[in-house]
Amino acid sequence: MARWIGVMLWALCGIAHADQARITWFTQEARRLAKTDGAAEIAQAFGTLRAWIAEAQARQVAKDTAGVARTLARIEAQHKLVIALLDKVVAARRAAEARAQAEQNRKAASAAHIEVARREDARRRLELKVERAP
Amino acid sequence: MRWCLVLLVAVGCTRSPKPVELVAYEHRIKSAYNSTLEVRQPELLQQSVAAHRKAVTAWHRGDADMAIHYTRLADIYWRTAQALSHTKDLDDAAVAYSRQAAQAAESKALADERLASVERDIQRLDRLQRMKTELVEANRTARQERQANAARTRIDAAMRALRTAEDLDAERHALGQLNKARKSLQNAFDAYNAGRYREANTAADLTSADAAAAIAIARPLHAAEAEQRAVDAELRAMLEVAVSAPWADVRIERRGLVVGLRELFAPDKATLKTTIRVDPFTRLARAHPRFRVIVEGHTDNRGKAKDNLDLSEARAQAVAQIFQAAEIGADRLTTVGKGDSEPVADNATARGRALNRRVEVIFVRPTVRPATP
Repeated sequence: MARWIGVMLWALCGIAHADQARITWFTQEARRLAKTDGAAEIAQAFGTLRAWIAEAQARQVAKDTAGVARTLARIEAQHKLVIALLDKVVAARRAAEARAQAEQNRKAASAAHIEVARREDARRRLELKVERAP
Repeated sequence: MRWCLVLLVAVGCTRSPKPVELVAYEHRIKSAYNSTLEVRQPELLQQSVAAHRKAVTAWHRGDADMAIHYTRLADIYWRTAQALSHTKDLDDAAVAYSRQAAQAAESKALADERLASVERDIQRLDRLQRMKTELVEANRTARQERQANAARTRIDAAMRALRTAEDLDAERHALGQLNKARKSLQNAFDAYNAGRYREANTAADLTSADAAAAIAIARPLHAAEAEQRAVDAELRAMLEVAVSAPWADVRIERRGLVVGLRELFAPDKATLKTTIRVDPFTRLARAHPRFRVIVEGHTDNRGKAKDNLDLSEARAQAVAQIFQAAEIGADRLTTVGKGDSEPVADNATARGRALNRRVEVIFVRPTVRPATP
């Protein structure tokens, strides 16, 4: 019985220790992600993540093992969501940059073609002038 | 037993309402359903569906907390799938834009290449244009130089003609033409200096024409004057020789050199006493062939006029024969008897009559007339 309790306690401690490690890791991740530029959606998701991390800490303190497990499951999913949202922001920025570059290149190409037409017209006029010269 | 069943049904029918989050989630996924998500994120979608099922089960069980927990998980999975799908869309858009950017860059590169080629053509045409302009300018300059040289040549010729006219004393003989020529020459210089070469040529030609007209007028007159001066000089030289004979009265008159010879004859005779007094003048006549010789015989007034006339003529003939003997051609000689019609002294005195008895040898001044053109 005592052995079983000891094992249970050890498991609980182990679980508690593992849970704490995860909580710590997610805390550090939240700090890292907080430094990345993001939209309101990300800020909100990130805020939720941090709230749940705090909740997990509180449940950990209250030794609500089941509550910690549930919260950690949500934290894990929310973490992936935050990463996905950040990736989306990066992708949006990349797409915007690519669009801006495409627009810039299109304008430059258009301007270059206009300039070519203008200079070709000047060349034609000069050719006529040279032909007519005595 | 029946009452237990009724109790169970009653309890079952009095289930708690659906959690708001679950209702909101179900409403959200219904309105935002996208079949693309099933293709792109099937696992996340399945996880979301599974979480939703668990939420509904928990709600049915009356476990609101678990229902909310699983609802949140389902929402997170759903939103993650959406985010990842959107990211895919954005990545595809970025790729498309990158492709467009590359195509635009390629198009610009082609345009730049074309522009460089056109610019080279323009530079080449510019060079050609400049060369043509320089050639035209060089031809124009050369043409102007030729015109200037031709005008200069004509002006020089006009100046030479004008100088010739001035040397021929056209100032006195053809002043009108000379002044016209000078005016034309000034016009020619003015036009030349102003670069109006055609006008300069015309003015130079006018100068030459007027100068030629002045020359045509002045040349014969100038030559006649020179000839006259030569004649005068010759007469003076002849005078110098003639005055050396003391028996001769020598003077230059309008008609020429007059040598009055006295005491050549005996009274009333037409025979020369001596030829010595005549010989010097025959030599003079030979030395100056241009002068005709008139031998005039004169007498005093004693005797009849007719006799005096005959005597004077005979005496003139006698002297003329001396000249003929000295090979002075008859075409140069003229004899004239004047009788007593032209005395040079008073016949009342012996001295006067002696002076009147004379023969005058006149070296006739040749008539110099300007040559007619």
